[in-house]
Amino acid sequence: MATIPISKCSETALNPRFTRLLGWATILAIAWLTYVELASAQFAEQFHQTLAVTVTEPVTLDIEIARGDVEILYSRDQQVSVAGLAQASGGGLDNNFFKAFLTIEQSGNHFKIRHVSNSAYPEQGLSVVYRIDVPYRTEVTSNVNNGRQTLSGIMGPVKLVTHKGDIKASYISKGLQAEVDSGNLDLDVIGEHVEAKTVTGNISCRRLAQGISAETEDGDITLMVVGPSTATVKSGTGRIDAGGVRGPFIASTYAGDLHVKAVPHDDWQLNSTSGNIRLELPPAAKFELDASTASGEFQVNRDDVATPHSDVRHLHQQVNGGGKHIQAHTENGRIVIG
Amino acid sequence: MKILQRPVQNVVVVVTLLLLSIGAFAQKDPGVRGGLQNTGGGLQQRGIPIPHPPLISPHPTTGATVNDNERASFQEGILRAGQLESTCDDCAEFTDGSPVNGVGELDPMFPQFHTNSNGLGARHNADQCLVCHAQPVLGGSGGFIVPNPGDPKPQQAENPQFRLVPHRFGKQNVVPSFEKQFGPAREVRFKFNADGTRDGGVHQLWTIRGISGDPTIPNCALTQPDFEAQNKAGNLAFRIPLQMLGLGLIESIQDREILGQHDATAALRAPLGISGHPNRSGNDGTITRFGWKAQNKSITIFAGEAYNVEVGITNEVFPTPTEEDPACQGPDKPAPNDVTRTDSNDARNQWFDNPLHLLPDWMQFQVMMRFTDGPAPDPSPSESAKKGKAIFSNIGCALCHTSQMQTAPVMNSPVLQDRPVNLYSDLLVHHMGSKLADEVIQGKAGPDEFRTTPLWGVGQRIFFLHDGRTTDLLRAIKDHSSPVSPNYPASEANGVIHKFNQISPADKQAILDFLRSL
Repeated sequence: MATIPISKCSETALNPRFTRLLGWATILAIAWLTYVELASAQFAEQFHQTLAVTVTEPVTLDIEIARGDVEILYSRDQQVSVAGLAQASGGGLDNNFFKAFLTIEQSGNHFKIRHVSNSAYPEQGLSVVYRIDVPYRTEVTSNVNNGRQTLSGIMGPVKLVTHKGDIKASYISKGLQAEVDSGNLDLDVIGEHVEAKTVTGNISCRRLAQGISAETEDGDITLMVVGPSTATVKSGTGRIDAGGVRGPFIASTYAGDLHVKAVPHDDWQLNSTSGNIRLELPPAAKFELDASTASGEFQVNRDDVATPHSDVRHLHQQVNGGGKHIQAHTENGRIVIG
Repeated sequence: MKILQRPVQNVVVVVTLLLLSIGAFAQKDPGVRGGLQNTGGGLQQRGIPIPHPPLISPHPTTGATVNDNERASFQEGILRAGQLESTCDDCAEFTDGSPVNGVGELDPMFPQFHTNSNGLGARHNADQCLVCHAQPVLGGSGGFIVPNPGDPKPQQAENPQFRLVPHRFGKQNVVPSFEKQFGPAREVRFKFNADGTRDGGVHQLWTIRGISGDPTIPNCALTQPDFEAQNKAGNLAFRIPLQMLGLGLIESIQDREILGQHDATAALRAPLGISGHPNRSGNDGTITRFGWKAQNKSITIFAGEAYNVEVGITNEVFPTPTEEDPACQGPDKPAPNDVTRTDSNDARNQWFDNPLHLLPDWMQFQVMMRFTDGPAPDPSPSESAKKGKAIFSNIGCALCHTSQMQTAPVMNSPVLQDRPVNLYSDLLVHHMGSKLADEVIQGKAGPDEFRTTPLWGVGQRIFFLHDGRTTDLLRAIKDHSSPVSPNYPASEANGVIHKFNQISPADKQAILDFLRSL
């Protein structure tokens, strides 16, 4: 590898015209960089308030946010802490920002938190995040028009509505209702029954012991260790993927595929209009298979289920002596049994 | 005249003596801060769930907080620590690792009459972790629990080892006389074996004999050790549960910090006869620091050991059951029982039967301990408590009960690194003399040596000293003192306790008020 001697570089004679040009270029570059820096600068405004509550009754949060993300997280008992962070590119924030947008009303352990739109502050390039640290024993009703909602570690129950934005909730001891128009729903360890609805977003759930009713117009549904469960994709091409189903399972899709991998602890009822249905059960699983396809075909990948002829449209068999009833029906799709 | 004067003199003498004696006994432990009724089982008694352990607070300087994965592991750890264990591998009434709802449990994360986990050992001290760690919040020290939650006829919270654990789900245990209804939850170690050699190990209190809900062990006929005979012979050493709060911070303190703090007080300690030394790992020689004798190296070892010793659940670090009677293990109960599941066939995946392959209970539990905050002191201490803090330091208590140490400059988790820990302990072991000696040797901690118990959270503890002998802080302080005896040297605390005895009643009261503010 060649190295350039520093002394030789410093001795190189430069053309005076070239030096002038270089000077102008440097000035222009600095000016441009300064402009870009200012234009893209993040201006931030913060808000923080800690409020005392008692342990003798639950905290209730009633939240309405026009625009902004909300995080409601378990931290410790006897206090509720509300922190806000607003960021805007190109300025427009001042000390009155949260005064103009935010109201917090406290009555004992009950809180009303409102973030309303304010024309004094343009929404373009504005990002607002609220983080609310709460005791374990907290109940939440929250309505966010445009923003993400994240909840974790509280007792509940919880009711969440979002027009545009994702919802993520985990470790909620009681029940949860979540509804999103445009955005995804991600749920993990919810103690009581869950009702989950989206229009265009996906629904993804893990460890919902008391089951779920999930419904989407057009998204995918993924369920892992849930039951009893009902999963419905109403229209569109969304698919349903379920693993570790623990109770009765009812699933239907319009054009998407349906895949279930689980021990058949209870009856399953699987329907798809034009999608494929794929079943994966343990090798020695006992079940009663009742599968039919109007114009599709069967593919059997296990020894204990007889492979039907290609013209067979209905397969009914007591597998390994029979057990829970597994009904699978598709109009146009294929049924794979593994 | 003399006849008249004598009664007056007598009255003066009596009044003076009375005043003096009032002065001498004026100082009084103010008791559990906030009151028993507002903490732990006292809340449960009022139909209020016991608060969950606090999540570690943001870093005081950098503002760093737990990341999303740490938060999730912390939450998962609470769930696992609250699980109620059934015996066989798939006997739980509710899905493993799920909250228990719809059956009247006060807290779905801390069920008390429905099982949601498996693996309870044939011999055990408890059937769920948090039953012995519920004062003032879950994850705290030993406290009281309502024995019949959900019963329309409410009962007073009490020692869970008195009725709840020994008889839960039909277990046929005889409750030894040292487990009192409103006494501390105790476990026992035997000091010596029958042949006179040292024992020192834990002998679990309870067996699963008679337990309902496990058809796989119809012939389990285990009997308990004869605790009464051992007690009568003076062969029992008692231990009460330590709190789990803030253990991640304690674990994050470097050995050099512990030794540096110790060296810094050498000149002050010497005239008072305080020495102290670290207990050390027999393998790598580093300082061990958890447990009454600082016998455990890490939270992970502590968790694995507690799962096996206290709950009888074998695991990766303690893979052998304490009781191997096949009649009490069930044919399908694998050992080690609580391990990271790697089965290719999810059907046997301990009811998770799913591809998630989560960490085992004991590992989630240790993550939870790592990210709990230290106990919070009184945010508005009284003037007396503020004064007591200075006196506590002036008379030398703080020479062992070191008020603050700093965690390591770089930790895997930024929320744990380079921050102060107000633990009030030097994490070293000291000779405490005959009054506290328990004849148990653990590592380099001898039969009368104990770790300086961290005092953070002492304001809301019910029982004090390793055996839970008192609820009175004043007695706990005084029992630090022991003269030299045939078997043990004098207590290292004698000089400081002598100073404590010399200060005024008001100053003693100030120290008690200070301690209850922690």
